[in-house]
Amino acid sequence: MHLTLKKCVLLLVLLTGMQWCRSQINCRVFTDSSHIKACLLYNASDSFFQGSRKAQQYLDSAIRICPDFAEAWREISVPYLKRGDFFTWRAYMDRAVALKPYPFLGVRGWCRFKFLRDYEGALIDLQKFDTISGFHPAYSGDGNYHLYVVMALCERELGNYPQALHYFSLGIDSILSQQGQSWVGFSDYLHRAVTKMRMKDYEGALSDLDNQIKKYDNFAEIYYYIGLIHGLMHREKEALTDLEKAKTLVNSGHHLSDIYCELPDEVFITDIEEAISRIKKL
Amino acid sequence: MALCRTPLKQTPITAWLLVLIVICNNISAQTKAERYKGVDSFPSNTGDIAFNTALDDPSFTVCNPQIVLQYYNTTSYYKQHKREIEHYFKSHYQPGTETADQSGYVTIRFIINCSGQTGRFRMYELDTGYKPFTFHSAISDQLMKLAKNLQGWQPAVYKGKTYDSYQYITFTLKKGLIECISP
Repeated sequence: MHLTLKKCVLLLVLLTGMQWCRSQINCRVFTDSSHIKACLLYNASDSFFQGSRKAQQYLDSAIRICPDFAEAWREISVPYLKRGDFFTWRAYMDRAVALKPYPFLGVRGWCRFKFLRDYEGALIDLQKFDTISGFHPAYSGDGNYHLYVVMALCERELGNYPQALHYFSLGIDSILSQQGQSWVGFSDYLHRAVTKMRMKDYEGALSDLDNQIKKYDNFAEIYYYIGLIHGLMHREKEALTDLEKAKTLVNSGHHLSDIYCELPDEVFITDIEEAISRIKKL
Repeated sequence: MALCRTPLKQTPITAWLLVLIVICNNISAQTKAERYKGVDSFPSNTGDIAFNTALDDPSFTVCNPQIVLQYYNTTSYYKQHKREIEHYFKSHYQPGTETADQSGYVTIRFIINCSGQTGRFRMYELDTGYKPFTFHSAISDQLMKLAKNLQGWQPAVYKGKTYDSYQYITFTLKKGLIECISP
């Protein structure tokens, strides 16, 4: 079935919502009274807006009753992260990680990557998480990326291109062979293509962009980066056609986007206009 | 008659016992210090910035203090104009000298009111390990001044109505240079 961008975006929003609006915990699994009480308070906090006084009070009470209840530490931290208070976020989140490295080390690593672009710190967390997960680190909190792809992007931004390609291979090729095309992330081929472009492997980058088109072809970033690569290969006429297509797609709302942060390799209309102007001057 | 207390005979065993007791007391004290005491009062919403006469311009008003959205609740001006905002800061910011140890995160959080005016600016400074840090004032004051002078903000809009909203900008600094701007 060919998915439209709108359907994909709705699916992503749904997945994001599912991840951020955490699910309720089955409190019957606990046998001691403090865990049961904390669990019930944690579930009840979900009745209030995230970050509201009531929600935070419920979570605070859950922690006071049962300081071992990692989920409450994690949940109380989230509004601080989303609202730029990274000190308080870390204070709470670190307690969750200390109590339950699996899965919260992976969550912290991903948050450091996404919200702070702390590539070095994120990579340390994710590499440890990779080990404790038995080398099956699963997906990011928003469901957009396999964590190997996040690790690849961290390595890329730190300038370690061969290591980035190693993680891309684990996050794309291994997933493709073991689980099939539908498990490869929405924009993973694009990110690997941008990495190869930076490595001046233009043919390799175009090959990955071709894979991206086969996977899903209707967003501006694909044509923006094809345009840049054609420009670098001195195929200016093709580059301008690609960039104009990217411009049309951005103007019609078909581009990478996230409600919290700028996404990796996301392009803005000004990026496209600058590229067009630069190539026209050649 | 003066009472003389017989001094405790210092044998190797008593000495070790004393050391053990001191260590145990220290561990116990540390555990107590780390024990979660809870928060006495949370703000109405996490991250709320109350008016402070010492810090804030009294002419800046919030249209509806009961409903101040977060930037991610609607399509925000910041997200749509990030490149222009990045360009503004990077082109105006001038790193000073002696910046070798000036690395970490500077976050400026503020309100955009329903008319697109900005106010109630607050700054949070952290080192690369997310610990509180004080950057040279040449860096922090400059970033704050640039943030306050940035014009052109537009209010958050939801279902055709304008709202006040919170926005934050984080500068990742490496040796005094702006490495990136987020979110």
